[in-house]
Formats: sequence, C-alpha cells, structure tokens
Amino acid sequence: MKREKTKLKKTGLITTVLLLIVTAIQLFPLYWMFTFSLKSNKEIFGGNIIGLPENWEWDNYVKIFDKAHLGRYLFNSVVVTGFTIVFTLILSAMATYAIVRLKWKLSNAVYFIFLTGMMLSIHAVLLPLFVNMKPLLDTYWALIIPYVAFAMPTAILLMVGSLEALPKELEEAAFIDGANIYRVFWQIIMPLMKPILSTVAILTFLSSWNEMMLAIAFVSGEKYKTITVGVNDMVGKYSTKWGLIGAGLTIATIPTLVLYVFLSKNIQKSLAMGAVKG
Amino acid sequence: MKLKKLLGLILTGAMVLSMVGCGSSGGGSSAGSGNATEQETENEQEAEDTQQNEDEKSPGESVADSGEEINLTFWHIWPDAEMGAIVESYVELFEDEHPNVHIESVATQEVEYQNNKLKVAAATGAQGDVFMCWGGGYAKAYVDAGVVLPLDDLMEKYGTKDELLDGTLTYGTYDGKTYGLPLKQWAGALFCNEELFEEYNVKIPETFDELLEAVKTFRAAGVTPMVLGAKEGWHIGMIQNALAVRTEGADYMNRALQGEETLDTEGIVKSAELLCELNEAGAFPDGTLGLGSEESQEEFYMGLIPMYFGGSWVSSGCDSEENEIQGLIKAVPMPAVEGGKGGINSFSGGAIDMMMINANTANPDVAYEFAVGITKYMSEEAYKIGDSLPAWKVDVDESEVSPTLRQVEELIKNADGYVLAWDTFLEGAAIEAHYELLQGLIAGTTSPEEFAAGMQAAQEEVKGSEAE
Amino acid sequence: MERALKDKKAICFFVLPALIWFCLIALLPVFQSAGYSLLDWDGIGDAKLIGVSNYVKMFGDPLFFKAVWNSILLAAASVFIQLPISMVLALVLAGGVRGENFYRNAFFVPVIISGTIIAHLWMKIYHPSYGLLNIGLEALGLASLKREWLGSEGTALVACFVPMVWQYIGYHMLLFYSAAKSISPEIIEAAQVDGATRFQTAWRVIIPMIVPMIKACVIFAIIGSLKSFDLIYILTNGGPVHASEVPSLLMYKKIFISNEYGYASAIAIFIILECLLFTFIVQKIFNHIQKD
Repeated sequence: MKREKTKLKKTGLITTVLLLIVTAIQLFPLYWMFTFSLKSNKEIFGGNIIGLPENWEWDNYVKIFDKAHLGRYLFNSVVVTGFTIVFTLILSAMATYAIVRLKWKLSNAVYFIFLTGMMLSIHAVLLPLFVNMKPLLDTYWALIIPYVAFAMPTAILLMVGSLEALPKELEEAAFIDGANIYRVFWQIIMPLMKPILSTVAILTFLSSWNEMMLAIAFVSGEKYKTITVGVNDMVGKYSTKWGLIGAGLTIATIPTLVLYVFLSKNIQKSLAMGAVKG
Repeated sequence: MKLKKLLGLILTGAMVLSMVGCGSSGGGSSAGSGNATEQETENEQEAEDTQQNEDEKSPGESVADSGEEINLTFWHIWPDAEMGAIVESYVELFEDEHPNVHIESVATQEVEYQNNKLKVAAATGAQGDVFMCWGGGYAKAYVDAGVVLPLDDLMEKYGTKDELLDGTLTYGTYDGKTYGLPLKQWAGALFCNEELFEEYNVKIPETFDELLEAVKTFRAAGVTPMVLGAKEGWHIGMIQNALAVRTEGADYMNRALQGEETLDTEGIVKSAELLCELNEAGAFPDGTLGLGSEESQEEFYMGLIPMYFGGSWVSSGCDSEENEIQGLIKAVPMPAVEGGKGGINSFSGGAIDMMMINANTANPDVAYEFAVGITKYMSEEAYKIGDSLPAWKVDVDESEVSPTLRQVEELIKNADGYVLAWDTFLEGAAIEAHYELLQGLIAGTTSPEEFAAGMQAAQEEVKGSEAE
Repeated sequence: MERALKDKKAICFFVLPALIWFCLIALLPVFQSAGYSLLDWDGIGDAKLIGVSNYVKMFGDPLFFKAVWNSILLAAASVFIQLPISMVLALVLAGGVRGENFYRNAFFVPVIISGTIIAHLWMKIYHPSYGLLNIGLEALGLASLKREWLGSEGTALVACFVPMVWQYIGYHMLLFYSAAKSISPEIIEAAQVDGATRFQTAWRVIIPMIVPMIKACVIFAIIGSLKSFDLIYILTNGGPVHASEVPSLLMYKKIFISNEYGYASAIAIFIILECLLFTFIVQKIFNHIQKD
C-alpha cells in the first residue's frame, strides 16, 4: 500500500513538469501576440522578437479603436457565428438521430453524402456558390447559410460517433411510457448529447469566426464586414505598422478566448450530468 | 403524399428564410449588385437616350438636372486609415455636390481584392459600378468578357483626354478602345541610404559593375546589401525587369511583352544573368526565398540595409516619420549596363492602376463623373504622400510633395521609355510561370537560358490559347 | 417502438432539413465544378468544352504529383506524430490530474488562434537572421545547425509541417478527451480494482472503447492534411521552387493567379476523390480492428 502511494506521487511530479512544459509551448502564441501588439516597429524588426516590450505602446489599442469600425465588425461576427452555431447544432443533431437510431434503408447512403462534405475545399466551390447565392449576397445569410452547410459534415461525423456509443435504455423506456419520437429526441437525446454538442459548438465557432474567403467575397461594405476581414484589412500590402496589426489581432482573438472558456465550462457541466444519467 | 407535403413545407420555410435575408439587406440604401443587372436592361435604352440629349453639358449638370435618387457602389483597395480617409473625403465632397447621389464605398485589402473578391464578382458582372482595377494583362479577361464599360464616348463628351498626361491611357486600352482611367504612375529607382554608403565608404553606383562592387563591399562588412523578399515572385521581378530594360531596351521589351517579339533573346538571358551575379555576390538577405517583401523592406526602413530597388511607392516609406531613414535617401536610376541596348533614361514603370466602370451600371454618366473625380483627386493626394506620380495634369505645390518622390520625379524628367512590371503586363498562366522562373534563378535551380526559354514558352501558350 | 423508428414522416422531419440545406449549398457547387473541369475556361469569359484534357494535363504534370506527395507526407505526420501526442495528453488529463481543466483549456489555445497569427508567429521563429530558432541554436552553441528554414528547399516542407502538426494537437486532444470522459467511471474503477496500472487501464480499457473517436480523428487528420492550405500559403506560398507545394495551394494559384479555372476544377475534383479514397481505406481498416 505504502509503496504503491509513493510510486503514484513520483509519476505525478514528472507528469506535472511535462504538462507545464507543454502548457508553456501552447500558451506562447498568446503571450507573443499580446507583447507584439505593444511594441513599435523598431523593436519588432530590430531583434526584440520574444521579449517584453521596452516601451509599452498601449497607444496601439487606442489608435485601432479610433481608426477601424471594430465594434461593428465584432457585432457582425457575433451575429453570423451565433446563427451558424444554432442552425448547425439543431440540424446536425436531427440528422444524426435519424441516421443512428431511426430505421430506414438509405441511412448509410445519407451519412456517406454528408461525409463527402468534409472533403470539399472552399476555394473550389467559391465561384459556383457565388452564382447560386446571388440573391442573398450582402446579407448575414450570405455567410450563415454556407457556414452551416460546411460545418454540418464534421458535426454529423462527431455526433454519430457519440450517439452510437450512448446506451438505448432511456429511449426505450420513454417509448414504453408512450412518448412520441419528437419528444424522445428533444427530451432524451438532446440532453444526452450535450457534451458532444458543446464540442461541436466550439469547432463550428472557430471555423466560422476565422473564415475569410467567403467573408470577403459574399458581403461588401462596412455593414456586414466580419472582424477577421477587418483585421486582415489592416495587414495591407504596404502597411508597416506592426504594433497596430498586433493590437487588431489581439482584439479579434479575445472574444474567441472568452467564448471558448464559456463553452468549455458548459462541457464540464454536461459531462458531469452525462455521468449521472448514463 | 405526406412526404411531398413536408418537402413543400420545408421549401417554403427556406424561401421565407431567404426573403427575411433579403429584407435585412437594408433595401434601397445599397445598390445591390444583383439588382443592378436587372435595372440595367430596363434602363439601358433610357441611358442611351439621355446620353444623346445631353451632349455639350458638363457631367455635373446632367446629374443635378434629373433629380432622381441614384445609388452607386465604389469598390476600392484602401481599407487602411490613411488612404481610406482620402477616399472618404472625396466621396463626401461628391455627395455634397450631388445631393441626389449616394455612394457606397466597399474597401477590400489589395491581395484579397485582386485574387478573390474582384475575380469572383466580375465572373457575373457583379462588381461595383466604379471599381479599382489593374490594366495590362489583369483586366484583359474582364474586358473580353464584356463586364467593363468602354469609355471612349464619355471621354470624348467630357473632353477628359486633355486633362491626362501623355501615355497614361496605354495600358487601359484594349483593341483601340479605352476602358480604364489611370490613377497614378510609378517608376522604378534604386533607393540608397547615403548614411550607410558613407559609413562604409562606398560610392553610390552608376554602372552595374559599381553596383556589384558595392554589394561585395557591404557583404564583406557584414551588411545585407539589398532588399529582396524572394518568397514573393514580383519582388524579384522588380529587379530583373528593370535590368531587362537596360539590356534589351524599352521599345523591344514593350513589344515582346505584348507578344509581338520573343522573350528568349540574348538581352533577356543577360538580364537574368545579371540578377544571378548579384545573387551570387550576396546582394540579397540570407534566406531571402523564405522572406516576404514587407519583412525584407522593413530592414531598409529601419536603416539596416543600404539599397532597395523598388517602385516610386518606396518614397512614402522613406519619408515616413514612423521609419528611421528620413532625409537619408538618395534615389538613382537602375545602374547602366555596359553593352546593353537601353540607356539610363529608360525606366521600369508606367500607369497600371485604373478606375473602371461596370458595363452593367445603371448610371454610366454619374459613374463616369465620379470615376474621373476620384481618380484625379487620388492622383493628387497619392502624389503628396509620396505614394506615386500623378497621371493627371495636377497643380500641386511642390513643397507639399514627399521629398524622396521629388527625386524620382527629377530622374524621369528626361525619360525616353517605360516598361511595366512584367507581371502586370502578362496574362494568366504566364504570370505564375514568371514568378516560378524568377524564384528558380534565386534558388539556383533555373539557368538564365532556361528562364528566357521558359518565359517565351509561357507567353506562347497564353497567346496561343487566345488565338484559337 | 419499432414502428415509431420506421415512421417515414419522422425520418423526413429529422433528416431532410439538413440534407436539403447541405446538398443545395455544399454539394451542388461540386457538381458544377465537375462540369467546369471539362472546360477550357478562365473563370470569366467564354468557355470551351475540352473533355478530359484537364485531367490528362494534370496527370502529366510532375508538379502536381509533387504536391500530392507532399500532402500525403503531411497526412502521415498527422496520423503518426500528432495523434499519438494528442492521445497521450488526453489520457493523462482524463485520468485525472490536478488542474485538469486548466491544462485542457491551455492545450486548446493554438486551435483558437487564427491561422494568420500562427503563421506570422512561426515566420518570426524561423526568420533567418533574427528568428527565435536560429538565435536559440546559436546560444546553445549549435550554430552549425542554423538553417534558412523557410528559404531553402531542403527544410521548407518540414518547417511548414511543424506548426501544422502542432496547431491541431489540442483539437484532437479535446476530442479524445471528451470520448474518454464519456466512458462510465465504473468500468475504469473495475479495471483498477483488478489491479491494472494507469497505463494498462488506458491501453486495455479506454483506448478500445474510444475506437470510434480515434477513427473520426484519423479521418479528420488525413482529410485536413490533404486539403491543407492556410499556413503554407502564408509561410512559404508553396516555395521555394515548389518545395512545399500542396494540391490546394496549386489549385488556388490556378484559379486566382493563372485564371485556369477548368484545370483548377480538375484538381478540386481530384482532391475530393483522393479524400474519399483515403476515408474508405481508413473505414476498412477500422472495421477490421473493431471486429477483432
């Protein structure tokens, strides 16, 4: 007993050290981006690449909010990403339920069709999609609709794997109690899938928040510009103010961090719930 | 039966969704590109009629008279604060003069605009009523597809040609018709940091041999001699193209790039050889093939690299307070090449940045007036900040102009020929081939002969597929 | 219940909205692209039907094969380097360590940060004269190992792989982790009561139970690699002299720089078919594993 304990403790220490090293590597980009946003060109190109700024140029942040319509862009990104996540989660969960639990001949074929979507690259379909989407250009829907379509394959693949692993007893019991299929889906399946829904929400969020090709081609003008495009605008061909760009990038990243932490707490909660019920 | 009903329901749902989407676009305020096409078919006849009736009038009157609400979209590449402010100040000016006209400007970052936004939209003629575009090879596909409005009649009507400097329309002209209004002109020059030249006791080069000497001296002293971000093919092209002006002469190069002469001549091989000589002498930064143009030029602006061969736009960086080289820069022509066919007064450069008008615009006259106005205005402003030389006959107090740009202007006073950067002249696949071959020269995997032969082959392929 | 699960109305209700949405928006353009791949077309003007000439050209292009080979190497690196690292991290965290949530969130950070920032960061790390890597090597007395990482043909490809593999370690870790966490604790406790060490528990109990997720991750990693674009586009743009060329980048250049829309569409169709083929192979392999 005693020997067993010491052994565990020892592994624990080595593990902790290793985990901390990995953490430092993984967090480095955040540190770098933030310090870079507070430096002047001279420092960045003059050799102070990873150190702390010599002069903390907070001014970069003031300038960036003065110059660009960042508030507007952030709002647009939130709207587009929000709708994209909601539609993706609901539609994908419904399709997943039909594919995994319902009994019909074409379910495998339909699953396969969705999976092919993962192989598409957005550059290849940009032009035909532009033509097809023409009536909706310059609206939020011009972005939301394709984002949802391109997010569904990954979402469905993940959800199918997770639903297959869930035991059927709860559903069976509900059916015996006389619940109809829609209630079973909404009241039994959806709560059970919460962990994977949170995971999918995060992934969908990231892909649509950072998307640029469509966001440039499908909406025009300041009104619908997303934050990612707005920040990219600042990285102009002849623009040399790197501190400003760093400030823009930081501002664009903060919401993703906040939302991630928020969604990630949700994962923990639903994980705990899943454990109780399962 | 049930299935069909459901399907119908879903489709209706989808339609409602899409209508909601349309509604939220804000209706009339933005002249949706989609609507523009429909309007155009209706208004085409009308527009032509007006055009005939309004001869002799200045464009301003013709618009003010009608009094109807007009929406124009203007697509440009200046989302940055400095140039963006210039655009907005003109838009406001124009709207004040024409209360019935509303202009929505759409700014997209240059690279994305060139590669993505404009190409995708122009495929269906959905670009802005007035849009920034590049002449030469870039716009040719658009002109051929009929999505750009020919401007000859309008230019005639408003006497625009008299206000332009000579030769600035060349690269906006296709098959004898003019499609683009030039925004600015550029010229290539060797920008030298005199402080560094003095420090290392080097003479500012006038001949290629002196340039090579200077390169060797700086390299021996541990200083990177010249700027080059060879990851971007165009940046290598700036140097090689300018050398070709020296070795093969401006006239020949212009004809060759148009496909009238071949590109595999001795002179062009020579230009590639000279580039290789510079490269072998250590002219360019270590690892230049992995560096972007910006990364590389930044060291010049910080006063660490003595020489930068670039376009006149380099001036704005030289005079900028953000950088460390104000007042230290001397601009000289690309050094003379002994035995070359081109003299010291030939330059790389020209007018390639244009404003064009969408062939589908509902209001060609207003669009034209705006295009002329903004082009002139920006020509002047860009001149002041040292970005480029004007393409219009502008009246600017010389003291307002960037000092380094003034030097470039002095250089080209006696210019006897210009050759555009090849990548703006060439079309489609030949551009990609050009970049590849240039990188090959720097990497040492392509010989100068292969470079010239490769360029000729690429040019033949592009021109050949057009002829079919 | 059987009847409820076979209800056609319900099936349509659940599957049609997603299916129609997906087919109209994502799948239809693919068929349009397949059509374009048979054309000689610049994407703007008149098109000419040329049959399979674009495919003939593609298969005769050594550059295309180089790009495909590079992307397959990347896929191999993802599956055999990235996924094992992710798995180890996920199992360590799922096994319960102090600060589990903190580590999990920290490891995921590179995934959250946009590719542009990651690429710029690595450009600074690789910079030949003042990059972190070369400066670090010099400081360690290993100056002979200094390279022009992105600028020489020998190292550019590997230099691109490192950040690509690194960025998505957290992504796969999270997926493995959430799968491992959904295994009911009783099963793991039962194994530990039987005297299994943590390593044995992981290897014999947890990993076999999350095989479906492993399959999904392998597919993600392979497809992601075969379609990779963003980081390479910024880091090297496929250079120097195509040393780090990949098919998506080649396609991008064909569409947007050379105006060879027909040819680019042929590459696009190839990438889709290639991904399908690999997915099929992975499915077969995993079916085999799962049966055992």
